[in-house]
Amino acid sequence: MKYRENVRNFCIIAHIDHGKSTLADRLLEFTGTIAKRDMQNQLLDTMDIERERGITIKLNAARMNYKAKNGKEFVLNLIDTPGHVDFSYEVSRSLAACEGALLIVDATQGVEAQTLANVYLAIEQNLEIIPIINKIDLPSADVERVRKEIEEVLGIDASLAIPVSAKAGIGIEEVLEAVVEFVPPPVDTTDKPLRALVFDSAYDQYLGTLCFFKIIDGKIKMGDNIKFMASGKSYEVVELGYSTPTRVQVEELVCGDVGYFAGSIKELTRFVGDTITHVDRPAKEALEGYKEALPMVFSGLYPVDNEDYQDLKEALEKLKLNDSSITFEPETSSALGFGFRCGFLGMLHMEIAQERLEREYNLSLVMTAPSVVYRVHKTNGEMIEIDNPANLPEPQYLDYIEEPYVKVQIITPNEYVGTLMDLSQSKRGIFINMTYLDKIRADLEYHIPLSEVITDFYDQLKSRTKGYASMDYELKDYKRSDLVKLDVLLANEIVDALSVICHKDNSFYIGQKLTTRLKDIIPRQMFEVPIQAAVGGRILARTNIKAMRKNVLDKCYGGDISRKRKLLEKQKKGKKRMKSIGRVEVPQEAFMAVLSLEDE
Amino acid sequence: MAKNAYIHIPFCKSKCNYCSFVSFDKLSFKIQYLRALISQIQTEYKYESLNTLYFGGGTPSLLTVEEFQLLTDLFKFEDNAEITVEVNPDSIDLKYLQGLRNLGINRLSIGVQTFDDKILKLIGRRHNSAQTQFALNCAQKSGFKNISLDLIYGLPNQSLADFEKDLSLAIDSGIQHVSLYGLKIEDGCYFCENMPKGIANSDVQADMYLKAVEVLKTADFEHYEISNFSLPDFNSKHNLNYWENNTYYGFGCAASGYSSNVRYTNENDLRKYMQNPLSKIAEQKLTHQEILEEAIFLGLRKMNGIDIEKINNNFEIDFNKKYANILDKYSQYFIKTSKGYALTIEGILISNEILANFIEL
Repeated sequence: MKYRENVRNFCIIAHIDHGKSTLADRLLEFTGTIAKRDMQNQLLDTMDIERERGITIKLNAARMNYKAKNGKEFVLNLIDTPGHVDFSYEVSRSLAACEGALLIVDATQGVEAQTLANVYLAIEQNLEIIPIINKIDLPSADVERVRKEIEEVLGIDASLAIPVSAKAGIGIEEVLEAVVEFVPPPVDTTDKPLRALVFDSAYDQYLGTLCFFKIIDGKIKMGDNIKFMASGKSYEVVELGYSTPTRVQVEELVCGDVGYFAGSIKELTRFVGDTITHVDRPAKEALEGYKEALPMVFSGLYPVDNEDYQDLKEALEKLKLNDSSITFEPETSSALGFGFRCGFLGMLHMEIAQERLEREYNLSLVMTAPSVVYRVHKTNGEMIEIDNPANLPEPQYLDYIEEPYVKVQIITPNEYVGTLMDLSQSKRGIFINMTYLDKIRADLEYHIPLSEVITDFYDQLKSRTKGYASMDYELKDYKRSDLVKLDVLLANEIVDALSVICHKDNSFYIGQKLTTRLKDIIPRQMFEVPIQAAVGGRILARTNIKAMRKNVLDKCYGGDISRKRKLLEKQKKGKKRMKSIGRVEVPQEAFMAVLSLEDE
Repeated sequence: MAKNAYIHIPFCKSKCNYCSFVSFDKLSFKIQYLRALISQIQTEYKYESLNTLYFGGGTPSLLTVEEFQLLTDLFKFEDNAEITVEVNPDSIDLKYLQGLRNLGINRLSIGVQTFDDKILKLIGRRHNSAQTQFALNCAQKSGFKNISLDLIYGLPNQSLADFEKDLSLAIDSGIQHVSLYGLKIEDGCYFCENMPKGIANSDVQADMYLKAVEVLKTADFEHYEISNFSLPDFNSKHNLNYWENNTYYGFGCAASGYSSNVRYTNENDLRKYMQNPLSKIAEQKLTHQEILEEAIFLGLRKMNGIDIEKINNNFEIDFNKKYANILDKYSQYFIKTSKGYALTIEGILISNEILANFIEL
């Protein structure tokens, strides 16, 4: 078999915060891909949200040229990947475009829950894994312990693991040499008909849809007529190139290369997972695409101003191009009007999606509290799946309800095992197993209802363990539970968007907490607003928001009228962020109140 | 063309705990400041005959009579012009006030705030109630026939009953005008960092306000603007000029003015102002829409409200149609007057909520 000896495709995988993006920065810097003066932190994190939060959400690719110690020139394609559990779908896509993976483990933290999860993904894809122990410059770094942990917990030979400090720039050349030496080159099948796997897409306002791909067989040139094998659509290649991460145009890319093309694609169709081939010399068989990422949490997304519905629809279509795991379907709410039921991979994903929609598409949105998918068995024997509490059938038609359970894996220092067991129990968790990874750390396994995990489980886990525990979860199965729908009434009207499904035993507690939270969140109105929580028409809790009595600017400020104007403008802006439900103006946070009942 | 002027005297011997206004305790700069102020007036003042002139602060009564004369001499006045000076009870005596009277100054605004000595101390005022009494006596003796008094309600440890006492002492003192402000702790004041105990919440403030309206009305004081009350014919002409959305000069550090549809605020850094008394920290040319909005939100501060015909003519709109939504949604807070609309007392109390709706963002 022929190989493209001078090409290496690799990605970086790690638990969140173990230093992926920093290592990527150093690699780009060392290879001179980025001039020192253009260097900034988190170079591959091109979105504002990523930089602000210091996390990677999107995979991103960069091509580097590297002259190895043996004197040979190499082209290295690096794909940076997200670390958070919600974005493992992004990870699995980038892995498919690589032959090797750098596995980073923090020398002070050791193996964490998502280290495990990502390593399994890489092993599934048959990637060559190069372990790297990062942050060796920190005083609490323990390279030998972590080396042992990688071998014992992950079962990977770590004798050659490279000690690195991405922050201090130690061991960078060794990493590049290891990539050249251990990552297998892609197979050279330039003569075969073109087959390129689309692993990402994005919308560019000038070029239309951009497709990012890795060429498995054959080659692609400017002006080629290509088609997508699954969707059947054909386009002409009007721009071809690779990213460094700035886009660099080229005339031709060949098998093993990672690149992008634009073809004046106006449709906002999904191409991720599709195979590109030539129109006049098509490949016989498409490549295996990606497993569909299944959304786990669902929530309603509504424009604050009902007139923005169409804009929201377009924004969701464009966002889906770049984040194919989002699903959305129109829905209506009697309280919120027209909107969409959207599916997300997890809570962070949901939060990021809302923020991207608001920022990148300049929308003001209300998002309802997330729900999982329930299987509702009706008395007539029919089973329906619902992802919106408002759609739960009336009690008389209800036989029983099943809810999704997830397998939760927690890696924690021993001293927190007790508190984490309490936490899992309080979230209706079922204890499955506990093993000790070494003398100081334990691996806990629980089965917990997903609905409990997506509320404040993660925050609680972090705060109870001072941030030392990490977790990962995956869908396990459905179990029958004694669930009820808890309705919230504002000014004596049921607000469907505030309904939640909860366990019957918790309903009284949640009703009490929720009404109190809402009282804090919803500002005083011009009239008294009673807030009630009810199950099946029975009121469980009630509180009142007293009428606002005084909001007046009485001072004269020596005739400084601009000051008065600014105050009124601020007031008006505040109003614009609120959703009117009947006569009550409700801020966005109210719809998420159920997620933070433990705050007080 | 402006026939009203505000002059800011930004000096205070010390800053009160609730105050976030621009003021400086470097009295040594007074002469240099007056020089800058005079130069600003000489450059910007177009020699109109003024209807009103208002010296605010800070503490204007830190100026000597001679220094006041340097300033009043710069202006031309209409025969019945209203010339006001804000004074602090601790910085005046009979001779001083007679001096001001002789300059043609005919209205005093006395910063009483409360008659309760314990509270005065708590809020960092320099005077006590005996000095207030003395100042009031001097003011009347020196021939001032138009005296206003500032009261603050919702002060630390001030009960509704305490405040009622302040109101009746104010009424009994024989003054003609009361300005009433709810304590508001804003950024930059001492209280903001050192929140005092025993402060009335907004509900109690509302009760205090309503009580003041009731008590003052009984004593024949007309409630003519959100925070202003006066005996018949003693409305503050200067302040009414603001609410009627007319032009006015702003002279001095941090003072605001309005002319040719531009709202401006002078430099608020004392040194910079003295270096260049013409520089502004803000200048905003109002759009047609903004002028309309201000005509409405300022006009509705007055208890007799806005004149619809005038607004319709000036801005070529149909008020009732353009604002039908607001008038409908808040109908219980609007009163139909012979000329247009005014807010009810309940509407005044929550006027920010209502007035914000007239703003287009």
